[in-house]
Amino acid sequence: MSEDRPADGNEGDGTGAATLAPGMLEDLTRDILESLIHNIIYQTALSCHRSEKQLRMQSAATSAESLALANIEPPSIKNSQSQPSLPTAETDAALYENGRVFLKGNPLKTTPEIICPHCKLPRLMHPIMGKGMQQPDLTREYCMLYPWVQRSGHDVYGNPFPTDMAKSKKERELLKQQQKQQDKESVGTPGSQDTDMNAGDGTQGKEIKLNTGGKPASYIPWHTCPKCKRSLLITRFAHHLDKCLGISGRQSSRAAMAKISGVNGSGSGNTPLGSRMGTPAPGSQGDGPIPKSKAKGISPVKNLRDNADASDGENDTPERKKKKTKSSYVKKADREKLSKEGTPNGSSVKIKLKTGNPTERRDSNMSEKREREPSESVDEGAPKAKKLKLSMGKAGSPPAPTPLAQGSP
Amino acid sequence: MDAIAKPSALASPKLIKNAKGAVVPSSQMAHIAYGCEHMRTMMENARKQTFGHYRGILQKIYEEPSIIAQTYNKKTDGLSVVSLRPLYLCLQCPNIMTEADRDEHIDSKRHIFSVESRGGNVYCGDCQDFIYDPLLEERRLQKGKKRKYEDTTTTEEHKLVLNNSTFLPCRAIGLRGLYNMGQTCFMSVILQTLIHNPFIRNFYLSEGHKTVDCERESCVSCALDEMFVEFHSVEKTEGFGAVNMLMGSWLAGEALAGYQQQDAHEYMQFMLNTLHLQNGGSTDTEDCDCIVHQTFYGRLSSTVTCDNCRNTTTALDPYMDLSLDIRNLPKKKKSERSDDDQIALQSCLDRFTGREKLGAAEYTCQTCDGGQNATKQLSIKQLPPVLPIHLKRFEHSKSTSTKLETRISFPLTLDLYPYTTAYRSTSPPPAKNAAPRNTSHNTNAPANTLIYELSSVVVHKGKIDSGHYISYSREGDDWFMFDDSKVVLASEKEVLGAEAYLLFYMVQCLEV
Repeated sequence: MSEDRPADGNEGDGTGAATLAPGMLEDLTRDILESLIHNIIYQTALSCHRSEKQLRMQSAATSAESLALANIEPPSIKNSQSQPSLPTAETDAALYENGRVFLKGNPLKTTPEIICPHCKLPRLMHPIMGKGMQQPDLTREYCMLYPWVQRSGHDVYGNPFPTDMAKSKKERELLKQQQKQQDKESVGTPGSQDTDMNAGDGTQGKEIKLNTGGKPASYIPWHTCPKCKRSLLITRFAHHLDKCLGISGRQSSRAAMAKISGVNGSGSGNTPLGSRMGTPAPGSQGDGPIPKSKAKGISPVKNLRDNADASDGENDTPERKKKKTKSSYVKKADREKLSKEGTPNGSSVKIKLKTGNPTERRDSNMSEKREREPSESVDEGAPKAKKLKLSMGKAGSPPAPTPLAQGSP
Repeated sequence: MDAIAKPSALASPKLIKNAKGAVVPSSQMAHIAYGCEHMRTMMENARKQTFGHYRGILQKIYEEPSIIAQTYNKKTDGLSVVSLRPLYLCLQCPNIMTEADRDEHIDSKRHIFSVESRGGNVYCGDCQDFIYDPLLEERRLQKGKKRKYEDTTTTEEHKLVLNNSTFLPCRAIGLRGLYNMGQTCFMSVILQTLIHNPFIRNFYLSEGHKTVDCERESCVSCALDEMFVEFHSVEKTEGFGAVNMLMGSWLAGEALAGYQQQDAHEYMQFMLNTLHLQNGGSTDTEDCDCIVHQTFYGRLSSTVTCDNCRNTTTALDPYMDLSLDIRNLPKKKKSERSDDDQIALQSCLDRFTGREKLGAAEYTCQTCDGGQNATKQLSIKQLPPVLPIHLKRFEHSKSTSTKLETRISFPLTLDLYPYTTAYRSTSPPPAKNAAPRNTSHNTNAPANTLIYELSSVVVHKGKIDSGHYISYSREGDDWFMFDDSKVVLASEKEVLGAEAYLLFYMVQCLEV
């Protein structure tokens, strides 16, 4: 836009001075047009050149720095500045001298590879799947910032989209079965989705795995309700919280709360605990008498909980799963009746119908989730927000102070 | 183009592991001293002169009339020729040359550095390539101006930060989806735009809101802080369950609470207000320096002129977003409109800041002492760094609510100067093309323009009662589409073709 302003000016000067010879205007117009197009191409090319060259410059510097730091002997870990021997190194592309890097030659020629200045690992240059994918050399380790994946049904990291969260019961069962099979066959780490090209892993011990960092398509996380400490599917959370906070169904919520506290008084007295224990332990999904007995112990609690939020996706215990096979459907009215009567089994049946969630059978996810959740919900007394941050730190991620460095503009 | 508006990959110092697997503290990102070895020689010999000359050239490029830097003397006959194409200004002498002349000049005079006249980039004759010297780049991005605020971080402080920070996964650059918790997409889209707002992000990542010290229960700001920490420090790529945010929002805003669909615009207003209150915002909105006001607060000037006595009254109203009417424009404009029923954002803004007749019943003039016909005009008195624009797609009448599905075209860069009070008051009838607006005659940094760049778009798909929200945000030079827990790369074309509901424009450059 700003480009054509000088053009106007020039043209104005020209026409103002004298009348144009025939054909002049045509030449002039073509000339201006060509110049403008030239400028657009020039600017596009230059900005592309700039970003690429800056990446290469930094890469040259980073590899020189890594070399220099590798050269200093391990004990000198404290502070490189106070060392008697200053770290120096020289590569084909750069000279590292005590924290400063002097480039040698043109980095576009000397440095073919882009190295991440943060983790000091080479960057992958092509997406690992989808549009423009190229099979990388898997004997090397790469910076985790992969080129963005463009593949339908997959996100930018290459994870498959979560499958429809409201699948029919049969579909879920089927998925569950497949998942089980896969889990048995593959030795891969749970939770991280291995990409296509790793099918033949294990042939070379050295090979790294490309990691999309996500979860299987069918994964739906669970989350502990900050209010009642129950664990439930994230997709049902708004619905649950609505009732739990007593926002819309005031009456029902109150009744539910009263019932829960009633159980706490008379019964086992561990509602929140029960909800946590009610979900199957990792690896013990599907069958096995252990979860069953566990579930039995807390089933009254569960039962009441179910009353509180009838259609919520509460955790299905394996025991409930079993029940499901016995009775396939109970009318809503019946369900309510049953729940009022307090028959432990009646209401758990009803829940199964609505949710029948396949997720908790997916061992890998569950185990991951299980690891995480207790830390979030153990100390109910502590403020929730604090708790969360702490637990994140525990999970191997950096603690809160980190962003300070990152965020400074 | 500049460092502020386009944050590239986040820079963070971190520990590195050496070949033996032991953690070695790295000083920081390897520091490049000079753009190339030739520049090193130059700087070591004549540092001050180089900076001085470069600043002079930058001022010539960005402040003086562009015709100066775009004129060269022809070698053959010495005539002055104006070029539209980039020319090269020698860094060591006042010569301005074409590309061919530049190469000759390098050979004959050994003045190897020259500055390209369009953007101030430095060309090295010995490298035969453009170089990007860190120190010169810094000056270039400031367009030759001195920084208003110096970076006050000392090396000691810098070291302290380095020694006390941990490695952040390179992948954690804030691109994660948000799980739909059951009709919560209205929330997700607003949260995504906040997460990708560099002002808000920098505030939270620099411990702007200290969760540890916050004593509020179910604090929305804490919940947002939690999200920023999670998005920028954890190597996970699956969606995030914004449970605390949901609960905080519901507890803080009764009107939006409950398991039902909500309006994203309403939620945004609620969020901004809540964050303002929870980040030490004062109730006096006039001068509140909380992060929300620093980012979104602007003022509209509303001028009413009495048709009878020409008396004008002006009122200033604060705003956090502009709500634009997108109902079909008056018929007379039909010729301007292109083929299909597409309306440009600019014409909505034109109408927003246009003159509006008030009837005698609507306006009472104080001087005339009675009802008078009057003319009302809105204009932007003060612009925020990030301007949310709300397109009124939802019409609510007494009985029914309808959605307008009119196509609104919106640009990637938007000049907001024509809608400001400064422009509206100086040019009574907006006579386009009449007077040159660009009074400085500089095309590289034109005066009287306020360029904003599109940074996020919130889209409503489907019908009013059964729709779905998605959003687009820019991160670096890439656009991403956020649809609940999905994050997908998007093209500019896709973004510009979306049925926008909320648009976020961010100022292109700020003087720092």
